[in-house]
Amino acid sequence: MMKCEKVQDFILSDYLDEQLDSKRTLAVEKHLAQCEQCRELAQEVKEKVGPLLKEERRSSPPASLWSSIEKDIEARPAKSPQRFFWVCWKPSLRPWTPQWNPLWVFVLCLMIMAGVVRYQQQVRTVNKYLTEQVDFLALISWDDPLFYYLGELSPGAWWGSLWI
Amino acid sequence: MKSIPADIIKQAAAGDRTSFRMIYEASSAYVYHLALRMNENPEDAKEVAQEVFLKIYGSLGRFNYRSSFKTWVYRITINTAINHYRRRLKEQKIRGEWHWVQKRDSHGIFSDEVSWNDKSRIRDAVLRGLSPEQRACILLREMEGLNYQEISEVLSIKLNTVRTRIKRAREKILEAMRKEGIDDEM
Repeated sequence: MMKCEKVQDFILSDYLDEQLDSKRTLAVEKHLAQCEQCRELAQEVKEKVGPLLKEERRSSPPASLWSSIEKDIEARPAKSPQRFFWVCWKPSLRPWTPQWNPLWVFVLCLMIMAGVVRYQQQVRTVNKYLTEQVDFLALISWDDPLFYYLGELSPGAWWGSLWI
Repeated sequence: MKSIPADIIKQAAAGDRTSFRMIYEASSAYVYHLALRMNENPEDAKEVAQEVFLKIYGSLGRFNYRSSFKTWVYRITINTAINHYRRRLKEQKIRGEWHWVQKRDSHGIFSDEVSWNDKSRIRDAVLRGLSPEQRACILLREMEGLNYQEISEVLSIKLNTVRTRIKRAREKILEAMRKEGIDDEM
């Protein structure tokens, strides 16, 4: 069974305003049937708060309100070109908010897929080049006279031979 | 509030005064009444309503039809009324009208001159004890009959915040009525 505290929260908001789902409404009503304190609160809120704030008719605005508004509108300065420019550009300066319509989502997916395919092509090209280089190095024997010759040279001459 | 056709809104946005008058006729009672309950006295309510309609006139061209026109008008009214209330409170504090401010802040909602037999005066006194945000929520719910989702759209706040403000407002109203021993026979 729901605790009194929770039920009283609901009584003061969702239950009284009929904003609760049917499952919770049932749980509150079950609690009310058994708890006199909560039942009294529900009764009190229903009889006192609602009728106090509800009004049979609205207060009418004074007759002078419209004439005051008209006077203010007429006293306003005409829109200057600068203001017109600002009004035209202001919407485009607002931060972009995504519009999740299906066409945009489809286009976005296509762009992501094209990006992935292009990336994979690039990776394949680089891998192919590296493999060729490694294979070439593997073909060269360490007993090759070229390596032997380079090993015998002093560091200065080694760099010099490379230069040549 | 009566629904206003989109072409009337467009014509008013283009500067057609007759269409704007139609918008005024359809919404002025709602705007004025809400402003009156938010700001307590008719002079302030008139000032708020005037400011609201000038704002509507000035920004009709930017109304984007994402929310309903009713929601948009309520949003402008509530924001203008809260700003007006805060400005008035600040002015009164600066002018040194401390008796009024202190009575409102510390003593709560009741003043001696309120006759508890008069429903409208009880309502005004009770509403005075609420914060402007709580007042906005409870009025939109009880007076205008908006549901929680609509209130959250009008005030641009979360649904749970609406729930909490309405709950706190009702708690305060009940507490005040119990304290003054107001019975059901209002």
